[in-house]
Amino acid sequence: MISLCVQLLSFALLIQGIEYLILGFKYSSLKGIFLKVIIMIQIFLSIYLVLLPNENLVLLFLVPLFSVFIYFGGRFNGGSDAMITQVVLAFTLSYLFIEDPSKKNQFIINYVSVILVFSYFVAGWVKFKNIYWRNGSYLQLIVQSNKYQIPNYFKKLLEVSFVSRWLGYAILSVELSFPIVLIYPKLIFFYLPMMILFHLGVFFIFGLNRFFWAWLVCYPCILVFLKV
Amino acid sequence: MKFFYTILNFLVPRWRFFDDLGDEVQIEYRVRQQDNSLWSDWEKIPDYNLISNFNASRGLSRLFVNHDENLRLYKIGLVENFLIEHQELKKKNIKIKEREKFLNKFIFNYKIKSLSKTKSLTKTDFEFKINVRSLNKLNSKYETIFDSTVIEFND
Repeated sequence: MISLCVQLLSFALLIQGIEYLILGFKYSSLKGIFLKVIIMIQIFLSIYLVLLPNENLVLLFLVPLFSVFIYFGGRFNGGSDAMITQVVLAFTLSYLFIEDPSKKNQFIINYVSVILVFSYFVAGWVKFKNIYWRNGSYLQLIVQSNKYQIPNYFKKLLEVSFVSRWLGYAILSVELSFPIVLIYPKLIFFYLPMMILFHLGVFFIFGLNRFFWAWLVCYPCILVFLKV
Repeated sequence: MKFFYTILNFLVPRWRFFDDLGDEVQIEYRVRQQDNSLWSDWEKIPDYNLISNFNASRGLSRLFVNHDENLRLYKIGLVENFLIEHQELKKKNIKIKEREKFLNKFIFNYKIKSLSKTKSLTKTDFEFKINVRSLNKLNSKYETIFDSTVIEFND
């Protein structure tokens, strides 16, 4: 399972690298040898680890991740970059501080699983604190803004208050109740498909593709963590 | 201290997705020749003024590579972060050089260089302003909350 996690992480970083590289060639303000060299390192390392997963090499991803962070003056893609960084950090800490290979893997699994559960719960909790989520109008209001490029058919669908209200409540419920898998591990077989659908929905509606891959990286770990 | 703060920002995640409706940002710019005192009319930068009519479907290939949308969201985030710092530091009367540097990089360079491909823009002054409309208030209107200094373009 750790190998699968390394492969998914490397794949996520490969497609991120391709995105940066395209941007570097396309836009004059992003042209520069620094970005290209760093991204080429990320791409080659990603390809290598997709083909030959090796958990001891994952910490090398910190170099391009931190360089991109500095280059853009912060995270390029917010939460998804943060999640990828957390997974790389789990591998880095286990490599630096744990010698026993089985304990290393267990540490990675525990760390990533806790971060995954925590991320969903906190995301649900901050939504719950917002009045617009609680009264079911958030999605209806956000599709009317120009913040996200939302396809017209989704806009029309979410402008129907019944749809946006119940979709909003469904998102809140699933995120807030996610930690229940720690008590009833078998429920993960309900939650994981729901969360995959949720991330796909976020992509199709808001265009946030990186979130799908960043969270997918963590799923093999939580399956091992819950021993299901 | 600054390096420590940067490392901390890099390592500590924030999971506050869609926690607030926030603000809608609009950026306008204008240019003038340095030998001519007349400014052009204000024009909106399209990245921050999306065409509301988005008929295209979001194809599955964009699940893998979606660079343009990610860049646009980054630019919006950049301006939002800039405005947060701007408002915080304005109270203390401190100029925020660091964020302004990034803003210039992505607004001035990006815009002026794309314009200079079609127009002769040697010895040109450039100026931009940021307008914001709160999504938390009904029928709120755009208000200008940041005016850049005049940026000289001498390429």
